[in-house]
Amino acid sequence: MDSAKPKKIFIVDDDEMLTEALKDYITRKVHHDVSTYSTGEDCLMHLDKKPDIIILDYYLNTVHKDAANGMQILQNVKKELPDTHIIMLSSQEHYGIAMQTIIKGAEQYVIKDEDAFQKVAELIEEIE
Amino acid sequence: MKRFFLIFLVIQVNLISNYCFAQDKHIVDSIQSLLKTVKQDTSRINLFVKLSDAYFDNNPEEAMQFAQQSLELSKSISYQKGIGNAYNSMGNIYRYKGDFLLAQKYNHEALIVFEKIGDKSGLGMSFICIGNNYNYLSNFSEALKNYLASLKIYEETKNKRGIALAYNNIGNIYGVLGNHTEALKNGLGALKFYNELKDRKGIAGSLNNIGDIYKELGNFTEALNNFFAALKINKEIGNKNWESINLSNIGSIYSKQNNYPLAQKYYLEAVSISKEIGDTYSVADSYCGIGNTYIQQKKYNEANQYLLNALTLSKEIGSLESIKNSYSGLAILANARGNFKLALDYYKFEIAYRDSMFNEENTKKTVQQQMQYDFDKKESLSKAEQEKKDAIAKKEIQRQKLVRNGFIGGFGVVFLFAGVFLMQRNRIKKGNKELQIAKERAEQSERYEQQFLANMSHEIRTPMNAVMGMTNLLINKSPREDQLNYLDGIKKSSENLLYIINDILDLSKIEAGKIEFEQIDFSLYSVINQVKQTLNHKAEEKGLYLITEIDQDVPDVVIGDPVRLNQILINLAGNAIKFTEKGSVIIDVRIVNSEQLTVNNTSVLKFSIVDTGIGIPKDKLQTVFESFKQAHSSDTRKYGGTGLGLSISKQFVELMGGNISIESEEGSGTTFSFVLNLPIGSAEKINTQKSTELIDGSTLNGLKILLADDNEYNLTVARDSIMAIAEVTIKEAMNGKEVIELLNKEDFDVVLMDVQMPIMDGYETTRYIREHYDLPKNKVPVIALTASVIKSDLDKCREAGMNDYVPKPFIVSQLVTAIAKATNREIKFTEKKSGKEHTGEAINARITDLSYLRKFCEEDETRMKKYIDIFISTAPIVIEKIQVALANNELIEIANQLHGFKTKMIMMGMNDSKDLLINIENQCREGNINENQKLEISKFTDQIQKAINELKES
Repeated sequence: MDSAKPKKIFIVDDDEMLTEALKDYITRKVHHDVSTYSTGEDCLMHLDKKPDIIILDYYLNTVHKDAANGMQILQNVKKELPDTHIIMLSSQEHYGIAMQTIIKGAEQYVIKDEDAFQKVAELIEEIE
Repeated sequence: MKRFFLIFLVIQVNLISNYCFAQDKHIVDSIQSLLKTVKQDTSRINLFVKLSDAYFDNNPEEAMQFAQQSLELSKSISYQKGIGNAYNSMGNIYRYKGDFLLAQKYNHEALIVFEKIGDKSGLGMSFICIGNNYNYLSNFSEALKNYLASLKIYEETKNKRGIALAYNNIGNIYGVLGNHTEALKNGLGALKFYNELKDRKGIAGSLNNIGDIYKELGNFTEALNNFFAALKINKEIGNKNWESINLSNIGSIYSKQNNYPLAQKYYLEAVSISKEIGDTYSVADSYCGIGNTYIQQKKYNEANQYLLNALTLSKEIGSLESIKNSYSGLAILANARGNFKLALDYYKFEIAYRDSMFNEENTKKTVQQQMQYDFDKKESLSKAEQEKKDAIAKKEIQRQKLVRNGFIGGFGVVFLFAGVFLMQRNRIKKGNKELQIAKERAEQSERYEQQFLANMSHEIRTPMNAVMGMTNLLINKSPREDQLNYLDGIKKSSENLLYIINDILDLSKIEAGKIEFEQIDFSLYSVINQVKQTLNHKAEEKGLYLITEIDQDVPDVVIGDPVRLNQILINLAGNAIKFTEKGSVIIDVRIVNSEQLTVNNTSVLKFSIVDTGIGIPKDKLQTVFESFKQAHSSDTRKYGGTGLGLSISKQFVELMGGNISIESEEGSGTTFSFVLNLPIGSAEKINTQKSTELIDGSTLNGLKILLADDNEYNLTVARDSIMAIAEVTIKEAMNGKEVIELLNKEDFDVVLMDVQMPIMDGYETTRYIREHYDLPKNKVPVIALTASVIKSDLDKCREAGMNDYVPKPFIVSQLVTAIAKATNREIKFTEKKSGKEHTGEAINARITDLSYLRKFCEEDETRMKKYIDIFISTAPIVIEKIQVALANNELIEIANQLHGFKTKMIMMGMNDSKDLLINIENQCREGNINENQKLEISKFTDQIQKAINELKES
C-alpha cells in the first residue's frame, strides 16, 4: 500500500508538547518528513517546501498573543498551495468552527483528545 | 336540583287530582255521557271544561276545542265566570304548546273578567296562571309578584286550597333562586294548610317537597324523614306516581350518604313502579341514579349498563334533560375508568345537549322580550286599560265578596297544574343558575382537558422511559462511533420530545393555576452558563454567535427558581436562534437598581435577549405570546416547535412577579426583555445543594431490591441501570399480586413500584403491604416509579403509604438517591468529577496519572522523560501567563492559555482537572468572571503546580 510511502508533513501548533508528541506518534511506523512550527506565520514562510499535509491548530496565540489563528493560516495556505491537505487539530469542540474550516478547505477536523494522535495518523495514511 | 322543581310541580298535579281525570278513558266517557243528559247551560259549560282538562295531557288540540266550546256557550248566556275559566284554560293550553304571547293574552283576559265580576277565586287563579307564564319565561320577579298577589287574595278569602297552592308556587320560585330557607318556609306553609284540609295527597306532596328542600340544605336525616312520611301516605292512598318519586328521592339521599346498596334498592323499587305506570322519564332518571352509585362502588360495568340504558330511554322519549344527565354520568364513569378521551367526548355531548336546552331557553327569552314589548305597546295605546289593570289587585283586596263557585275555581286549578306539570318536566334550571352552570361547565371541561393532557403525558412518558433509559444503557456499552452517532440522535430526539410534552403540561398547569415556584439560592451565572451550553450547539449549527453579557454588578447568587428561569431563557434565546439566519443572539443581564441593592437586599434584574433575526411584524407583536401562535403563518412548518414556548415564558415571568416586553423591527431583529426582582442569596447555601449527577452507585451495594413494573422494557431499564452502577440483588414482578407473592416468600430492603399495573396497582399493593404484614415487613420502603407528574397523583402515592417517588423517565442518580434515602444509606459522591463540584475540599489524591503517557511511549522510559521534561519546563510559563492575565483581567488570554494546555493535560493524565479547565475557559471566553471563578482559576493553577511537583518527584 501507498500508506507506507513517507509524506512531507507540517505540524503547526504553539504547544511544544503537542508537536513533539504528534511527530513522535506519526513517525513511529512510517518515516514521514515532519517539520514543526509554533506559529502559523512560521509555517507560511516555509510553504516553498511544498508539504503534502499540514496539521494545523485552530488557536495559535498562546505563546505569541498576536499570532494569526488557524483559520487565517488555512486560507493563506489554500491560496498558495490548493492541493495541500490540511487537517485541523483543535481542542475547540465547536461544530460551527469545524464546519467553517471544512468549508474553507480543511480535509478533516480532529478534536484534541486522548485518541487525537491515532486519528491523525489514520488520516495521514488515508491521504494519497 | 332538578328533582326539586319536578316535585313541586308534581304536588300541584296531585293536589288537584281529586278533580283531574286526565288520561282516564273511563272517566272521559262518563263525562261525555253525562254531557248528553245535562240540560242546564252552566253545568254543560263545567263539563266542557272538565273534558278539555281531561284531554289536556294527550291531546291539546282536542282540549282547546272543548275550551272554545265552553267559551262560546258561556258567552251565549253571558256566564262571566265560565268565560273567565275558559280564558284561563285556553291560556294554559297555549302555554303548554309554548305560545307564551297568546297564553299571556288569554290569562290576562280572564283576569279582567274575574275582576269585573269580583270573583276572588278566579282572580287568584288568574294571577297564578300569569305567574306561571312569567316563571316559564324565567322572569322570576314578575312571577313572584303574581303568586304573592294570588296568595293575598286566597288568604283574604280563607281559601285554604288556594293558599296552599300559592305557597307551593312561591316555594318553587325560591327554590329556583336557590333561597332554600324561604322555599322551606313556603313548603311548610303549604303542608299546614293541607293538614287542615286533611288532604292526604297534598300532605304527601308537601312532605316530599320539604324533604327535597332539606336535601338541598344538606340535612339528609330530615330529608329522609320527610320522604319516608310521604312514601307511607302515598302507599296507603295508592298513588303510584308519587310513590316512585318518593322512592327515587330516598335512593338519592342514601347515595349521598354513600350507602350505595341501600340507594340501589330504593332506586330499583322506584324503577319497577315507574315501569308499571309507564313513566319512562322517571325510569331513566332512576337508572342514572343507579349508574352513579355503581360508579362510586367502582363497579364500572354495571354503571355503564345502567347509564347506557338511561341514555337509550331518554333518547326514546326525547327528554333533553335526561339525555344530558345520562351523558354526564357516562362522562364521570369514563373519567373514573381513566379513559379521559372518552370522558371528554361524553362531556362534549353533555354540553351539546345543555346548549340545545339553552337555545330553547334563549328562544323563550326572545318571546318574553316580544311579549314585554307587545304589552308595553298595548299599554301605551290604552292608558285607561293599563290603569284598570294596575288597579285590579288593589280593588280586589278591598272587596270582601265570597267565592261563589268554588267548583269551577277548582277546574281552573286542574288546568293550571296539569299544564305546569307537563311543561316543567322538560324544563331546566334557569335564570341566575345559568351563569353558574356556564361556569361549572367551563371548569369541568377544563378539568377533563387537563386530565386528558396529563394522561396523554403519562402514556407518552411510559415508553419514553424505556427509549431514553435503553439509549443511555447502550451509550455506556462503548458503541462504535457510527452507532454512537445514531444513539446520540435518539437521545437528543427523545429529550426534545420530552420538552414538548413538558411544555404542554406546563401550560395546562399554568391554566389550572397549579404551578408552583421554588425559592432557593442559586447561581445566576451558572444558570446563564447552562443556557449557553444547551443552546451553543444550535447556534453554531447556524453559524450564529451566542453571546452572554452579564453586567459585573449583577450578584452571582440570588434566590428564586433556577429551573424556571433556565426554562424562560432557553425558550426566549432558543426562539431567537430559531428566527435568526445570520449574526448573533445576545443574552444580556444587567442590574436596574444598583444603588439600592444593599438597602433592601433585592436585585432588580433586567434580562434581554437580543437577536439579529427576521423580526416580528408590528401587527403580530401582541399575539406572539399566545399559545400555538407564531408570527409568520408558515413558521411552524419552517421553524418547528410547539409554539408554546413564548406563552409559557410570559406566564412564568408574570407568575414570578415580573413582566415581559418585546421590541422588534421587521428585518433587523427582536429584543425580548423581562425584569425580575430577585433577593440576593448566599453562596454557602448553594454548596449544600449537591449535584445529583455525581452520586456513587456503590452506595447501594448489597441491597436486595424488589422491582415491579408491568412494562418489561421499563423493567429492563430500571434493572440494568441500577446493576450497571451497583452490586445489588434485584427480583422482578409484573404486577402487585406478584409483588405480594414475592414478599410472602422473602424480605427485601426496598420495593420500586410502578404505580399503574394490572391486577393490583401500585397504590393498592402498597396499602396491602402496610396493612397486612407484621413488623418489620410492613415497613419495607416503597418507592413509586411514576410517569405522572401531576401533584394529585403524587399525593396519592403518599396517601397509599409510599415513601418516595421517582418520575419517569428517570435519571439513574435520582433513583439511586431515592433508594439510598429510603434505606438510610449515606449517599456517596463519585470522586471522578471533582474540582468543579468539590469546591473547598482538599484533594490529596495524585493529580497526574502516567498510564496514558506510558502507553503512548510504548513503555519507553526515555521518551516518557522527554515529555515529562517538556511539561516541567513549559507548565510554569502557563501558570505565570494565566496569573498575569488574571491580574490584568485579560480573560481571552486566560482562555487561550487554558486551551493550549489541553494536550499537556492529556499527556500527563491530569484527568480530573479537565472539566475544571473547560469550565473556566468557557466562562473566560464569555467574559463572565466573578469571584468564584477567580477562585477556580487559581485552583487550577495550583493543580498545575501540584502536577509539576509530582512529576519532578517521579
